[in-house]
Amino acid sequence: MIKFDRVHKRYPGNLEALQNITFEISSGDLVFVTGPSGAGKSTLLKLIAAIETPTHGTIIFENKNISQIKSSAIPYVRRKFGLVFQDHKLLYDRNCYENIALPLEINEVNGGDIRGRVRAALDKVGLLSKEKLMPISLSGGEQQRLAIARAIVCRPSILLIDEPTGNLDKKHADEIMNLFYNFHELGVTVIIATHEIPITSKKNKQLYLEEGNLIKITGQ
Amino acid sequence: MFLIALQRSHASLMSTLMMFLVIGITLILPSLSFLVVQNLKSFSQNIQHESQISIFLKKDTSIETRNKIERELKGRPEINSYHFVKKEDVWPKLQKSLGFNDSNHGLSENPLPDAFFISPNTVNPVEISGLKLFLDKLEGIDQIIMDTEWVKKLNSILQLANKAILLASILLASMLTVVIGNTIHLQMTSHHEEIELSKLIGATNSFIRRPFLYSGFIYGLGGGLTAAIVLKLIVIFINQTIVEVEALYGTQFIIIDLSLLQYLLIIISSILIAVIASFISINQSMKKYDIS
Ligand SMILES: Nc1ncnc2c1ncn2[C@@H]1O[C@H](COP(=O)(O)OP(=O)(O)O)[C@@H](O)[C@H]1O
Ligand SMILES: [Mg+2]
Repeated sequence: MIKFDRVHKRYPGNLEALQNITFEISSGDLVFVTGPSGAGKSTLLKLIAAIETPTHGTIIFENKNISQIKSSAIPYVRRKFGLVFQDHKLLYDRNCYENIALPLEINEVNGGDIRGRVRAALDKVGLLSKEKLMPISLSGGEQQRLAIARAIVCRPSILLIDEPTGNLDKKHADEIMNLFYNFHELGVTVIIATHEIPITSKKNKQLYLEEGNLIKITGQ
Repeated sequence: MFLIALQRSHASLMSTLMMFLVIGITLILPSLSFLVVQNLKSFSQNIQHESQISIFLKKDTSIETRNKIERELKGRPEINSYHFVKKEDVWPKLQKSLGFNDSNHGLSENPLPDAFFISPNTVNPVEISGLKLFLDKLEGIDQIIMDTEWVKKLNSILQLANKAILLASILLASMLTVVIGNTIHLQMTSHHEEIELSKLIGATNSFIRRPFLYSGFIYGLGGGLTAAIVLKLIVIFINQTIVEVEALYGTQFIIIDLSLLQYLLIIISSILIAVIASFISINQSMKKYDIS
């Protein structure tokens, strides 16, 4: 489903953030992208979601080469993914409901369906009672869950999650991770970037990065 | 439509009203000048009948030739009216006014020619000179004196004024483009987080453009309406004042209003300017969100 072939990424004025990356992810996989800070994990997720383009190499997604894609086609590739950003990127001038409605509007979902789907997504992450609140009044864990609700509201088949448990305590972090495992069990491909060693009994695959190099792949 | 646009646009009420004023006032300037020129034009058309062409016949012109000239004058469509003055009729009057009497004739012979005095029904310089060319060719005419020079001058001044207004309109339109573009740019800057996020999760450029184009549309519509309403109020006010003066002096003069079409034209050009300005500004601002 996702295939990297000798992918390099160099940011302007930087050393290479990723070098010679080759791997493959199948539909329904649970994947951890691990490694220390600055290893290139976020860059890898951005390349998958067509947020960044590779300097060299090819990225195949659903049998299409998205490394040489027309810019007018990029939005439609991005819509296939549910993205949870490291910094959440919530809109603080809109309430929880409106934050979750935005991706549906972008995906041109029928206006009459929006209300039900927003509430279903909020319900799934346990925030239904807070739909009228502004994100700023939510706790860190709740903001994370709001960001997850926004990522799943369009029912993507792939979730890309960047450092989901970064600044959460163990109890909340486990809650969040269990949310992702639930989606995985429903058949969603889940790709999580994290600098912590993941502890899970689930069958998973790990890509270990260090200074832009893919050091090892475990759990084929 | 307007309500939906207002809802979807990202403009605040205060800045929207400000833009209505800025655009409205800017549009009133050329529209008002245009209105003034139009009124002067119709004024100059009204006094056309008082302008005159004098035709002096040759001394020895026969009655047949004179009748022939008269027939030709009757056939010209540009001629509103004419009258003939016989030299025998004028001569005694002139003598009297000069202080001569029958006993001491200053001159034994009548020196005056017969004359036609023509009122044309047009001020169009081309038609007038066409008429003059025609008169020049007639037999038995000694001299043609045109009394239309100042009308011509007024017309050319009005034409110049029209050009000046056109030029000023273009300048003001470019100024509006800059002002509106800048406002839209500021609006986009204050929504940059939303734009950035929307792009990341798959919004097309047209989706991102839309609310800001709505803002531009609202600015244009509101500004155009402001201009049209204020202009209409000015016309009503002036005409009311004139009516009062009329009652005092019994003159008849009233400002000619712009036509409905011209009012619509003001509103439509306002919308066009605003939407185009917004479009340019939006595309400029969006370049920085594109990936390399
Ligand atoms: N937009 C950017 N411009 C320039 N350099 C960047 C950018 N994003 C990341 N980098 C650099 O690329 C490297 C990898 O970054 P990143 O993918 O964020 O690592 P990680 O997520 O593993 O911490 C780092 O050295 C970082 O400084
Ligand atoms: Mg990172």
